[in-house]
Amino acid sequence: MGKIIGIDLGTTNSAMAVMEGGEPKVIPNAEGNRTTPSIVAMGKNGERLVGQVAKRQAVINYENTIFSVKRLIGRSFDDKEVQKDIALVPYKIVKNGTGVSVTMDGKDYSPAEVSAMILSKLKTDAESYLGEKVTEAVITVPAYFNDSQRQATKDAGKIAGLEVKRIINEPTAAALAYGLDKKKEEKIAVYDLGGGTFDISILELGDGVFEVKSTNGDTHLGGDDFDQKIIDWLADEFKKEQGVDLKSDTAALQRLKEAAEKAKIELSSTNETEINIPFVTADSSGPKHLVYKMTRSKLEGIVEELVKNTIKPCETALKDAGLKVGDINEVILVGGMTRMPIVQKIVKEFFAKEPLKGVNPDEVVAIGAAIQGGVLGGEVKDVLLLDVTPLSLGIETLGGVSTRLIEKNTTIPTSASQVFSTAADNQTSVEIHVLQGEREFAADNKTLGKFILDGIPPAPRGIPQVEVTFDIDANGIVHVTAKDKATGKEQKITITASSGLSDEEIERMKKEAESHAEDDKKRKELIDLKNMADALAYTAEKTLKEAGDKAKEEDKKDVEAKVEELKKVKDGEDKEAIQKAYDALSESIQKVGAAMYSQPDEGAKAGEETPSEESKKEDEPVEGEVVDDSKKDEETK
Amino acid sequence: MKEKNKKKTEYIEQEFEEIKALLQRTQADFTNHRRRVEDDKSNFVKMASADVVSQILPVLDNFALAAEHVPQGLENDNWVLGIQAIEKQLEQTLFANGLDRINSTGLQFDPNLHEAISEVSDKKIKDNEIISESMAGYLLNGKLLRPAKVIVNHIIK
Repeated sequence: MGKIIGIDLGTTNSAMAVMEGGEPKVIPNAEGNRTTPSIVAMGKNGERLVGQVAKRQAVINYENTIFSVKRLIGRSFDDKEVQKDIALVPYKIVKNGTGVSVTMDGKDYSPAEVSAMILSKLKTDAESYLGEKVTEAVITVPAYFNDSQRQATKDAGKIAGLEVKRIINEPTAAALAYGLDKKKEEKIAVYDLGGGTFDISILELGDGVFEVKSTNGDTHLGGDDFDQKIIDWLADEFKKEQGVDLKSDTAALQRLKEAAEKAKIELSSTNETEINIPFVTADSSGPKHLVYKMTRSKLEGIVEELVKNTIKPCETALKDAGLKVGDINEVILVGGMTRMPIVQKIVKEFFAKEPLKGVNPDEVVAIGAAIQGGVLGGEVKDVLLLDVTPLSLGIETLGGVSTRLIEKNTTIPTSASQVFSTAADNQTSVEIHVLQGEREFAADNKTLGKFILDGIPPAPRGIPQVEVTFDIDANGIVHVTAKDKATGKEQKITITASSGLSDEEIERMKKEAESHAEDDKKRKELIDLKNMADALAYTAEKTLKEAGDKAKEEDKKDVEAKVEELKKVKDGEDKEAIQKAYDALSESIQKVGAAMYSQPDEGAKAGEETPSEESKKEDEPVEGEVVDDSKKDEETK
Repeated sequence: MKEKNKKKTEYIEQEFEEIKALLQRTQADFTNHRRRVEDDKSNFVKMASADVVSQILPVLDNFALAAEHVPQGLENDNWVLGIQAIEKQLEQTLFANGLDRINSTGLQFDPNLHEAISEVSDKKIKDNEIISESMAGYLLNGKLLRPAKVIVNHIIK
């Protein structure tokens, strides 16, 4: 059994997705794009063109290029919508039995056949991408489609060689993409503002079933209208200032269109953009340039009316569903245009809540269809739906530091191990302090549990090996084990999910971690340095003992003095002082260490020691020392 | 009692088969995913520059437009020539990185390479022939980066 793909067969654009490894993945078409224009044409040489390639020749082959065929599928000739289209589109629409036909290159095709051509390209591209045959699909339709339209969509699938396992409503697919089917009872509003149409749907979820309570919208309101408003404004401004009408110049109009779309997109993430079209046109006085700064608020002023026009249908839909704004539990945004901040603002204002928008609005319907396909294909089994751990998990280590073993957002089940050691000589037990959170220090994170592993054989610090393992099972239960590798002795603790944090607390902790990141980093660097200083002081003393007679008396005294100095500052907060004392001791102890390896020749030792001193000191003669002039020259270079 | 056990066994066996199949499916998905990530990675390396290059194309376009509008008498002005030398330098840099210009004027329209922005109807010229180019089209490493925007002759029967 192959994969069941999910297809969003849109009026202007289509998209497809499939479940892979338990997650929905959008399938790009052969051209590498994640959406495909829903356009079909018969080319000059009789070849069939589908998608972007059909769009490119639409202007010169308008009688044989069919777009927005979704407006015709399953409808009768006398349908109001069909009659409206006949007046608007450049291709022929004729009556055919109970339905209609469109004409391409002299031949008649039913809307289902034309849709099948689009589906066929999607199917081929999906097979090429997945590397396996695709024979089954879930296809989405608008919630207001009647039986005839749904059946015709199913027929389209069949003609394309796809068994349509289910036809689902677009707003329902959007709800699935957001996992809303996991909830018990929800009232959901789906606000879909796409390229050419606006749809508002009110859904009610109960007993695991989505019911469409009402729908409304505007079948001729979409992103293209927004672009047009911007183009009009730019052309008007230009005419006012420079006296030339750019709309009558095809090439200039093209550039205006592209600039308008680019500005619209940019202003969704910045507050100001510069529209720059040099040499946009020329007249007797020479070339002219269009350069305007457009602010987001200017853009919003230009398109505000269009956005406000979407509110009335929302009010009507609520009324028809017998609900008030306060009854709606969730609002979902669908369609590229919902990326515009003003659209989001107006939706938030009307519904008095923050809409869900985490899923790519161009792909959310296809993703929902893929999820449905996954459920039908048995891929999405409740018991094996994967979760993630929302916050990092770790233990407390020397200096009060929180050391992470499992990073936040790691998919579970998962496990991780790390080997730790003791902080003091002859330490026979370790305390494992289990922490949850993003902060650098244990005190700032949440304690999940504590336990002690004892019976560790006495040894110098840093020698014992204690392996700490974190294991999170599919239910989110955390098992922490500490095992002494020498004795094999181990202790463990089990932490259930409920001893963790709530969603709000998790969000708060993440935000706090971000705002404290700089401070935490500085403090951690200081702690790390202190730990290193501690270790160095310990190692230095040990080395002195082991060196015994091999080290010169003056070097030993030097090291002892430097250790004293380091011990004095390491417990303080002065990072620079600690670093200085650390470096000084490091340098001194290296001399002793080197002495333990070198030949017992005093002269050679002096010779070895002098250059290292000179290279570190300023370039000046050192009193009483053998100064080799040639070496000195090397250093000044 | 026996009936209950039999049912239980059947249920367990069925669950086992389903879970086994799901595990196999997941493993296969992972292998496919891994393979695809590798393919994507090598594609990404090839096409990573595509996004940046597309954003630079309007600069090339505008240089071309500027060249069309050199003020009269300044065609041999040294400063103007200097600007044109810079344009050439930009072109050469991009060509050295895999950019190729698409030929259009005089050729037959091909929607795989060209985008028709308007039409004329001239019976003296061949049907479907490109009359003029409004904006240059380019390939990057053999793949379409931007179609040429052209005006095409469309003889209406």
